[in-house]
Amino acid sequence: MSAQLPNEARRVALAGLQLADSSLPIGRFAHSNGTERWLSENPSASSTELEQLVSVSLTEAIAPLDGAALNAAHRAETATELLELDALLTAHKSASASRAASQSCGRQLAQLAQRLVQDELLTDYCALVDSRQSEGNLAIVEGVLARATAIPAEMAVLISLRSAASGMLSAAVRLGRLTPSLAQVSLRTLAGSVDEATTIALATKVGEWHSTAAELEICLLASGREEISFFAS
Amino acid sequence: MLRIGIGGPVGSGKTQLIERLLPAIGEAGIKVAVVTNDLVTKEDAERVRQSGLINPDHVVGVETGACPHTAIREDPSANLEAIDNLERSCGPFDLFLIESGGDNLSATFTTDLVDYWIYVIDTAAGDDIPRKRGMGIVQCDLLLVNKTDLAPHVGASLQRMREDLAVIRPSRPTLFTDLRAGGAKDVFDQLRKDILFADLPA
Ligand SMILES: Nc1nc2c(ncn2[C@@H]2O[C@H](COP(=O)(O)OP(=O)(O)OP(=O)(O)O)[C@@H](O)[C@H]2O)c(=O)[nH]1
Ligand SMILES: [Mg+2]
Repeated sequence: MSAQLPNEARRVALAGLQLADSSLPIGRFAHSNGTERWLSENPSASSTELEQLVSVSLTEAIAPLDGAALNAAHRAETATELLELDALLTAHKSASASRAASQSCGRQLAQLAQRLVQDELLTDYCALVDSRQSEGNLAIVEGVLARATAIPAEMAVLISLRSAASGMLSAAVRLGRLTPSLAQVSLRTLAGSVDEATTIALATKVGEWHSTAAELEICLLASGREEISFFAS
Repeated sequence: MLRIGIGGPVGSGKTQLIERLLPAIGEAGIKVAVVTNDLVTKEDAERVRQSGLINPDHVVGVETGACPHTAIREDPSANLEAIDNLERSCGPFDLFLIESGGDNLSATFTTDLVDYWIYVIDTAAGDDIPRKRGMGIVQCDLLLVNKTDLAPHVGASLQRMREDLAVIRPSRPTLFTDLRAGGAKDVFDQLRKDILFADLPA
């Protein structure tokens, strides 16, 4: 076996692929981010309509809040700054299902991250998450981890938004409403939306965070009250 | 802290096993918590909570989404989080019992989640089940062939199951149980023998 390290570009690409990997064990599969509820309320929705839902969620809800938060976390210099961003992000999440999903996945990623890379800021921030002084929202943890593994902010935001889209589509697959191959076709079709959402996330400053996909927000506010639910959110 | 997983097909007797084990565990002075994985409702968690066999605060139901096996193998994070939350609110436990959502014969537990795991099958599902060599049956630390009382009614031969299992699990323990009528003393004794309770008074 060669002891040589991969070159820088490949190393960054590998780190990015790992962050994007759906097998990352952080509980993403248990959350549909409102998709389940939306599907049950739209029993005859086509794959095109589902794509529209994902697209609007990305550009109106996820990018200007979680995407923007990830970008800010990537740039933060101290654990205190991260703690403040974390609290601000929690305050912007009005739906408790959305808060729970974000924090449960984020805390798991924070635990895993410390085994993947040695980084002072990451260690300090994860200690705050571990002691529950900081909430550990997924976007914040992703931002810190991305920076620690030299993934540029733009790529990290792109990866995160793409994971969100893919998570919504795979929820539809697991509920039997979309075939796995059609989900891949949709993901491809959604490339433009992921790109646009990335631009929005990078341009949204800390004071401007917002999340306004009304339809999905209503689904998230209502989820948990659903009598039969396969996903936690 | 020790974590024991309990897996097996739907309705094979996983929750019943927990209900049978809790008294013996309590008598031995072991501080125990139960985590159930429910597909659609929190029914199993509610059932254990209301059993009177355990402090209801020490029981938690985890919603595993549409994939019960993922939550015990590929991505146990929801269960790990539930364990962490219980310990944060109730202090450390000696033992966690983690019941998987009922699944197919190939479900297995990851050692990221448990130290030891039990797989429960049901004689009424057919005496050819062991022969199918599901990964759960082959790999578990302890196999329970439950509902032996039903075997005669469905024409299942316990003798045949014993012979097949002697080949499939030559060196790992298997117990035949009737958990509805009887207690789970032999299961508890096996656990004592196999895992750390050795230092506890008999
Ligand atoms: N006859 C008989 N019935 C049993 C035995 N063990 C369990 N049962 C019954 O089988 C049914 C299912 O038992 P549970 O313990 O709920 O099974 P489970 O594996 O937890 O089921 P899920 O959580 O739904 O996958 C219940 O009605 C039990 O009373 C047994 O040894 N004999
Ligand atoms: Mg059960």
